[in-house]
Amino acid sequence: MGDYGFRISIAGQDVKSCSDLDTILNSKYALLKGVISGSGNTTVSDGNTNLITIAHGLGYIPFIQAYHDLDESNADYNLMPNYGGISIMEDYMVWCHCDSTNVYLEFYYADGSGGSYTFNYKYYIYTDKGKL
Amino acid sequence: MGDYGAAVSQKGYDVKTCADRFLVYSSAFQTLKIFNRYSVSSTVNGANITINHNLGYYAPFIVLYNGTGNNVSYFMCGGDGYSMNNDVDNTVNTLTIITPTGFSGLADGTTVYYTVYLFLDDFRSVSQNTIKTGTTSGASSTDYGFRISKDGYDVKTATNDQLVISSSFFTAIVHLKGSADSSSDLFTLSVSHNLGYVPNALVYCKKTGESKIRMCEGMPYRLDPLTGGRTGFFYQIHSDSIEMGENYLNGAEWFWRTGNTYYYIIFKDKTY
Repeated sequence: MGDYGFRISIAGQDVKSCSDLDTILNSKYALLKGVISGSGNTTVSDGNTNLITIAHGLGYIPFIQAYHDLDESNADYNLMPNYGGISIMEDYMVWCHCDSTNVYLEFYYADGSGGSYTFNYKYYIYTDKGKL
Repeated sequence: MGDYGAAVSQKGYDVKTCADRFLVYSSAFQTLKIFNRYSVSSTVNGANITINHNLGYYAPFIVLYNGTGNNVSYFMCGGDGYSMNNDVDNTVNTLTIITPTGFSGLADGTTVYYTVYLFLDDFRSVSQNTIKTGTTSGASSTDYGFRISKDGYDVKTATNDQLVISSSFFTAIVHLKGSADSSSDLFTLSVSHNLGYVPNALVYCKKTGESKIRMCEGMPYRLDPLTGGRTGFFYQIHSDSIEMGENYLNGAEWFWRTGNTYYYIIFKDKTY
């Protein structure tokens, strides 16, 4: 294949001779491309798992990424998957996955009190494939 | 330096006035570039997967578990939701995936599949740079814009996955990246980004004395379900900073490990 394509270098680098590492955009390497992002919240009753289903309509298995909060404040976000104890009396587990139709966010919570916990979440769905 | 360069906005946003996070590309900002993607398999408690990329520097990565049927995708975890962050590491030349006994609740010998993304970018410092914030512009469904295909694909007919870039999609525009060492056993390491919103970020840790990086995760205080040991390479994203650390138990007290190096990329994407 001939030496053609498209490249843009970072400031201070000669686009004709710089390394690929010093390019902002380069047709040799795709960028991670997002198509859908969204957010929401779900209230989980003690001892239960809530499943959030989001249709992506891509027809193949995409690359996804998601975050959640740990203090019901929507102020600080942690990467999913995540699991552990919010305090010594509480337990939780959150993770994300997808197939060729939907993205799934799963939230488990238990504290033995019969109460509930509200998770805020955010997700990214990329056009790049999550299974090649 | 004068105000020169090029920028492309997402569909429906005015490139002259929109906030940085609505750009597809700008010569003012770096982007996250995919060096290669790999489809690999192994067996539970079988041989490790090694990918020799020979980049010669620490590069960011992400591993997606595709299940036993190669028909699903889990972000950095098994099908049971337990994190893989301690089972995937990357040296300057080789990425390794371990599939330990008990992975995803599967029997030893079960075949499992993964997709690996390895990025071209390194962690040389990029200072934060904000040109524009805030906009009320909305998206548009009009079919116009900008797209570049990968080598070997016709840009007019290439699928979305075969494109380098398209103004139909948002991209991972780098706001700030670099590395920093932890020096306090009482506090996490904090890096300011000053975006005013919670952004997307990738964080990796090179533990003191090691020569590999692993992805940090959400929870610092947990009992590893497979080994029974304590683990916790942690990061949390705030509206003005990210904090990072490795928590460990010494006697009855928890400390943050000093001497670790954290590698981070903070994007302009808004996480809520």
